[in-house]
Amino acid sequence: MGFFTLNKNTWLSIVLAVATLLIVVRVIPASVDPVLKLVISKNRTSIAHLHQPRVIETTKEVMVDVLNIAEHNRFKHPQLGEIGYGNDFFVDIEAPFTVKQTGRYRFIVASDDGFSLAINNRTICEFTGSRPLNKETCHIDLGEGTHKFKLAYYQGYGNAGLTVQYAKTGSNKTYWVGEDSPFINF
Amino acid sequence: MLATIKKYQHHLYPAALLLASLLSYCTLYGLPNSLFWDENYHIASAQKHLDGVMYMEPHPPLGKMLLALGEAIVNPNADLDKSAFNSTDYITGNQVPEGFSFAGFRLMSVLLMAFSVLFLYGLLHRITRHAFLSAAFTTFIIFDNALVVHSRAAMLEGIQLFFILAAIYYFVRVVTSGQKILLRQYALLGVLIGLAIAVKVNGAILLLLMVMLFAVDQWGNLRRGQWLSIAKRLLVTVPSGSLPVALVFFGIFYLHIGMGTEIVNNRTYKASAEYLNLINSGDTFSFAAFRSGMKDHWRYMVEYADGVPRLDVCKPGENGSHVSNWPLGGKAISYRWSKDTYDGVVKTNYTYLVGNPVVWLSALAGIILSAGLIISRVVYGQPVKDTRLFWWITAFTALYACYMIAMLQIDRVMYLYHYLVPLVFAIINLALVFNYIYRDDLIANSRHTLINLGALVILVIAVFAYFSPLTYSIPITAEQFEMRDWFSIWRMEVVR
Repeated sequence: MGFFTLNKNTWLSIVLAVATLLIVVRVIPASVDPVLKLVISKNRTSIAHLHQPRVIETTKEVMVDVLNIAEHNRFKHPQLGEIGYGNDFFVDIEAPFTVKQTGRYRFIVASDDGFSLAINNRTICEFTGSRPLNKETCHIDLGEGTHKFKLAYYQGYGNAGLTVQYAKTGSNKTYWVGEDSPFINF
Repeated sequence: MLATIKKYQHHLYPAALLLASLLSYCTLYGLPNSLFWDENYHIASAQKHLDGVMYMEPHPPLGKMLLALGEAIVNPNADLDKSAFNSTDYITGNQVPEGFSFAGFRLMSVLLMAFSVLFLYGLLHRITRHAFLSAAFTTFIIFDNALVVHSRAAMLEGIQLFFILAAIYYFVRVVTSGQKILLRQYALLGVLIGLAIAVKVNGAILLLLMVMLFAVDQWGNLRRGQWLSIAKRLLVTVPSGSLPVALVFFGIFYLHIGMGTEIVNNRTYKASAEYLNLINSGDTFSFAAFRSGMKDHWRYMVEYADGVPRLDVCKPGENGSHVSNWPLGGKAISYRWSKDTYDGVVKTNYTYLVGNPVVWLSALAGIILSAGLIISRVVYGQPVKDTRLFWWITAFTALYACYMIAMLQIDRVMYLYHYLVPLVFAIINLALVFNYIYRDDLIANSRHTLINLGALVILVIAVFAYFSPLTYSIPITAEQFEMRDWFSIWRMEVVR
């Protein structure tokens, strides 16, 4: 009975239990819904242009839930942390998506440095050089059914980041690419 | 079997602690097989002792002498040409011969730090008289990542902590003996303090032990205000305690100056003509050489200290940190890293100075609790439940506070490992605070208290293991590194 009264021993047990819990939470790797596969390739040489010849040193694949990877001016996901290679790497993303309502859609891409966005293998917008985080808005008409999302991105030197959102024309609400909505499913 | 265990039970805890300590500190201590941090300086200096080359350095010579002793004992590089070490104060990787082993130069730091756990256990046991509590808090220095990584190197702190813990143990032993304090005990404490100072001058913090010893010695007279008796005792205890400190300190320098019989590459360190003449005439063990050499070494130490830059947190790659960041572990230091691909995955071996957060935060909590206890007694006149323990807590809190205040007065850039000495004071203090709070439960062998203590030790070991890749240079990915970057104040930097 004395074991469970709230005496100084119990308090210490509580402190130790809370500390243990916090540590366990901290050491469990973060995970998110695996919606989009990012193929991240470290280049051997400096990158100054998206379409320059690639000299790949190593490649890794990372699954993310949404394309919101620009925390603190780094290629950093809010839950997964920094997932790139620091400097000089390419990222390629290919994912099918299903349009539920025919109409005109806009994709808002913010990148530091360059990117190229293609839907159904047709490039709808791109910025292929180096720059600080900046937005481009790209429009496309999409019919109901399955389509292909394809994005290439590169980080050269310094700050980094990539975010891609979408919205249906006429709707004010934007969604992250990777996030399901009344209009599109990933 | 049980009878045998019972017979030797008093030795079981220290034996188990020593075994754990040897495993923690000594396992593959020759790795990484590369220079890191101040090894570039200290191995160059230690080699000069082996070859009888004169040199000057900002720290006193005992630490480097012991590093050299380790190399002489193990002698793993007998067939290699290390002469390049004598013509520089800072060895670069290119000057390290192919096949070089660090097992010799790192030996004494590793061994002395590993054995120092016996002093910690011994002093805690003498104060608390509780074997399990003493063993539990001794694990804090066995499984602290910062202490382990820094002592597994040819650096000075592991060696100095051995002498510091030896001095504290002896102080505790004398005070707890309950007998009249003798002048030779002042002298022996002075010898141990002198050894700590002869490694690094920040060991001078231990001179406070001498003041405390005198206070214990004269407690009765102090309470009765018998100032004449106190003054008379001072007249004999001050020389008894301070002369051995000076004798050891200058004796080590005498040996150092005497052993420096050769000048290589015209590196004279701006030594006086008199000292240089005495070296050239092979008269380095003479009193004249000691007098002029000591003066020159002292001048060099002062000039070097004046030339060290100040902390500049805006400087890219600044490894220094402000004293106020240390108790929380800031700033962690990347001593060394190397990157390689393992089965197609890029991984990095880090040798990183980062503390075990359970140890560091618990130690800080102990200091906060003891400060509260002292304030409640001194300012608000609250009664204390165990006067003897209260004074021990006051003593170690004072050591911690005085060291930190002294560090705040220093202008030059300082580093996280300068906190290892007060961290040890704080760990001792934590054990005593725990004993103070749970004294009655410990006397009654309360199962709940002992389970709590055991759980704390398990937590310390588990977190040590989690951070061990940064301690033992075990390859990890960038993601695994980032998972260990727990606090922004550590300012850890991932390699990608």
